[in-house]
Amino acid sequence: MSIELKNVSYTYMPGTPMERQALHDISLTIREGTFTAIAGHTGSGKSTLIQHLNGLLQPTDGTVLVDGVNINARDRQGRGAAKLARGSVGMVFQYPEQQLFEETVAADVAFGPRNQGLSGEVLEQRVRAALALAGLDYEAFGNQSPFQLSGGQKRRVAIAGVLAMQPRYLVLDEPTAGLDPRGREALMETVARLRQGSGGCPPMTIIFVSHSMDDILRLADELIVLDRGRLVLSGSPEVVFREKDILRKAGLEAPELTVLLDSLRATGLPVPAGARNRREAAAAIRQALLSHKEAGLC
Amino acid sequence: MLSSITIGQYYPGNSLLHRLDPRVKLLLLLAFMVEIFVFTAAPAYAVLSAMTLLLMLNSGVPLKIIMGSLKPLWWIIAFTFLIHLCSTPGDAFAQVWIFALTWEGAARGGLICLRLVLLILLSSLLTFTTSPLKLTDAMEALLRPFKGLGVPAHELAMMMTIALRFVPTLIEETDRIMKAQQSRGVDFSEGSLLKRAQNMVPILVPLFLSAFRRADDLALAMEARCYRGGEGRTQMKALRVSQIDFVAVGAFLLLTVLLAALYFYTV
Repeated sequence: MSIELKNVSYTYMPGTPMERQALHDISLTIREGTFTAIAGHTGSGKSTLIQHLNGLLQPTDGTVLVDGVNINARDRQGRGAAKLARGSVGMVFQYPEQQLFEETVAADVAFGPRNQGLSGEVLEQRVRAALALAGLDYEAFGNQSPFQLSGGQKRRVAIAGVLAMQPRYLVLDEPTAGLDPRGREALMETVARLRQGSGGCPPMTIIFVSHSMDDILRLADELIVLDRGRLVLSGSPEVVFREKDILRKAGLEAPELTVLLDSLRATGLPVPAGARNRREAAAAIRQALLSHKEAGLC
Repeated sequence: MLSSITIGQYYPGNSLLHRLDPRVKLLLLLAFMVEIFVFTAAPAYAVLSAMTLLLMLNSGVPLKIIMGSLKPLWWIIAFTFLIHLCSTPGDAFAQVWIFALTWEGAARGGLICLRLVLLILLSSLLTFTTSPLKLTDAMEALLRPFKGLGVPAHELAMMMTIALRFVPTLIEETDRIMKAQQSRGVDFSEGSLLKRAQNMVPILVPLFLSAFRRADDLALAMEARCYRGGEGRTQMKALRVSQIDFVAVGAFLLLTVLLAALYFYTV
């Protein structure tokens, strides 16, 4: 099971002076169970790309297959497939709290599953489970107005609204933008938990658009780098972050951790590769220093 | 994304029409319209039509796009023609029910329709070749003399500028909210009329909220930059009348003399 893009190109406003090609011949596969990060400078086509994953945009050229089903056919069947894909590919846009509209948190979260045709007991179960997954207590928040909550809580409600549809793939477009450091950390923990699967919920495939290279290094299995609508790099983050020239051309920098370890290595300290977070990096440096000492070099 | 949305129907370009001062363009359009109403003789209309076609070709806007502006008014034009065809007394060439279709009616209807078409084409030429911001600037400049009479020229222009400025922003926002709700399973293209109306709620509520938030932010930002109305305010891109404007006015006056001559010669 996977989401597969085959030679996808997309042009905004074709046939007008404002015509602009946002995606150039992109082919990629997002395998189920992976954590895929998408990085790129502003205007590199990230947002356009993710809108193809659940059929919100139809490619000008090429096809998108969700679990092997083409969601771009322009006939009735194709439209049905795109609608189904929206159930299996959950989409959390930037600043998702701006899409809240219901009078209570519970009603807003129930909006998605209700559109899927659920009601009654099953619906309430879904809402409870989704709020719990997003880290909110149903009893405390269910009957509140979403507009009275704090920014971070609103965002959790909006994410719960997508989770309530029980998607197997979850697309998050810069989910931590505009949050304070603590909110950011808590949200990334939630995302990591969703990926593992918790509380009776199966593990989710995460597709994560981010500017934070440190988050990507820490969490992602796969990294896709876009530059002006073209796919320039893809692979595991450790491998991709070694391509410094291509990254710089795409307007990105390797994460601070990678830069630090690289510069230590350049001084002759044999730091092993593969550290993905601060703790692992610290352990790697410690190990390198110890082996250095044993060799009597310092 | 912002640049990919057309504001109004401005079609960027660098033709003669694009470079004319918007005030001159606006005034010339008004004068042109008056002439269309005054010189109603056939030869004068031939010249006016030729002139309009020439301007259309010069504008650099594809003819197909300009002609597209007739589309929404097509049935009014057809209806006008029919009314004239049926209700003008004269030499009948056919009889439909109680209506006599006359040659005079056909000629008169044709002329009136041509007048409508010319008026629509010329005014859309103005909006095709003038950016909305320039247009509001021109309106402010032209209304300024009436300030003594209590016309709030600057305020009107500022309101229009702000409204125009936020049209693309709100379109973009609507698009974003629609896509977010579509991702949550709403289908805007299906269902009964009532269902479709209900589907608007999840779009309108967030849209209104964000519009109010933006209005607040804007008011604050304007105040922070000491905005206090139009008194003593200068413009970064002041409108300036240049050589081509004088040429345009000259050409227009010549055209008027020609039209007047044709008109009085035929009448």
